[in-house]
Amino acid sequence: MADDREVLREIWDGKIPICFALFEEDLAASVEQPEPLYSYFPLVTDKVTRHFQKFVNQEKQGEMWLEDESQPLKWHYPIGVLFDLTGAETKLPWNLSVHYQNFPEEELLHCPNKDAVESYFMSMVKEADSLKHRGQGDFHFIQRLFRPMSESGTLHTLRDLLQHFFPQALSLGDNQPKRYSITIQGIEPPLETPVQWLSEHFSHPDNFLHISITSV
Amino acid sequence: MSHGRRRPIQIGWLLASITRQPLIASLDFYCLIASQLQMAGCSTYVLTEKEFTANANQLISISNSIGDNWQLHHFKDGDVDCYLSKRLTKDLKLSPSYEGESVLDLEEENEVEDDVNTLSTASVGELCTFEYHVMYSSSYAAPVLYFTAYWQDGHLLSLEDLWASLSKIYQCRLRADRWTFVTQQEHPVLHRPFYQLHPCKTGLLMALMRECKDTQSSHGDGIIRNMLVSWLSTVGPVVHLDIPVQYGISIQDHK
Repeated sequence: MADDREVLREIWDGKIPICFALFEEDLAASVEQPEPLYSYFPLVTDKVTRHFQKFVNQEKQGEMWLEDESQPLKWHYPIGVLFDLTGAETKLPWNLSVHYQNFPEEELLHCPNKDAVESYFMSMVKEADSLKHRGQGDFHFIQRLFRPMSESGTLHTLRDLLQHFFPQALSLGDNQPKRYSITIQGIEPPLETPVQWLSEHFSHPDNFLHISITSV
Repeated sequence: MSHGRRRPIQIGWLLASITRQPLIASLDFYCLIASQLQMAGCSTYVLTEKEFTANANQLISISNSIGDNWQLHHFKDGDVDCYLSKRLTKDLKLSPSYEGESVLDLEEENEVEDDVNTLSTASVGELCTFEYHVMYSSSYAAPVLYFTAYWQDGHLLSLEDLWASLSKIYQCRLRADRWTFVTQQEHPVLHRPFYQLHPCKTGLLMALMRECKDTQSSHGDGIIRNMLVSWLSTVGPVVHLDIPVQYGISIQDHK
């Protein structure tokens, strides 16, 4: 079981400052607030929408969506994961554009209300539950799932996991330049960290350990 | 019910020929059995990736022989390395949904009032192209049905329109599960929004089918079964995807 309580507490309390600016008309209207890394954007942007209400043409107001440097943000990932995916170099506060028109429905899931977030979140938890509690009797090895321990009982590390799924993320030698950064919860953990420990301490509330691999 | 258990193969098709309302009946039947199995602590059916691939290949060869337009795509990306797809165009009639149904949920429908107004103009029927993808989920050890659909002008079919396009009985039957039965999800390979039939009950439905199979084989007339086809023929029609009965016949003749 998870035992490093301080780590758990730090992860749970993790927040980043985000600056929301209204797209197009550069009205200098922006609102900055800290958002929890484990949360989802539709759950925290009510205040943003209230703030921008008076600037937005009510007739043209459609579903809200967010953009990070012309990349629409997928609300169904936790905020911390979306931030990790921007790469480690992003300066704080994180500057996002807020849109109320031209919803990119080819790229983003619609989020008509908070029920949609709950429904998505629950489906992630169910998937995790199905993985964790599949009866031992039916156990079939599926190669692409990754076990926390080797046959001989030694703990698999983050390096082992990357070696298995995405070997190109590992640099070839000590003096080779790093091509990818591996980020979890805003941190680049040492590659020797056991996967079991990461899963217990760095997982999101959806029960998944989200590992972001971004090219440097 | 015991009758159903002994004649398991094409419950959907059987009922279709008798009642012409295959899916509401078969879905209800399956849900009932599935919940009983769950309560009895029965394990779910684990469809291995190998069985999925074999089933998918059989489905393709039958599809080719009857011209049903299913295609098999190969790739390597994490969870899966092949998926099935089929595209078809339907004349969709949208009924202003939820009308004459239980009042309980009417409150929350107020916000879709605008949609209902636009629906009524479209109720004569419009062409809508569906694209179905069937892929393997190693999390659920089960097949998952994804689909997307767009109108002739390129607009995507909204979830409201999808519900309005279902026949009244399904709307009524599934309204309690509105937020869990079909949801929009990111396609695991294309990373675009697709609708997904949620797979959390699939393993139980297939467990029921296996039970039927075991009963059958103890009588010595070993049934050859294609789990993928059995499952798809049950859930597909809910979202306008019909699986012709020739699949069942071909699979039986295959012995």
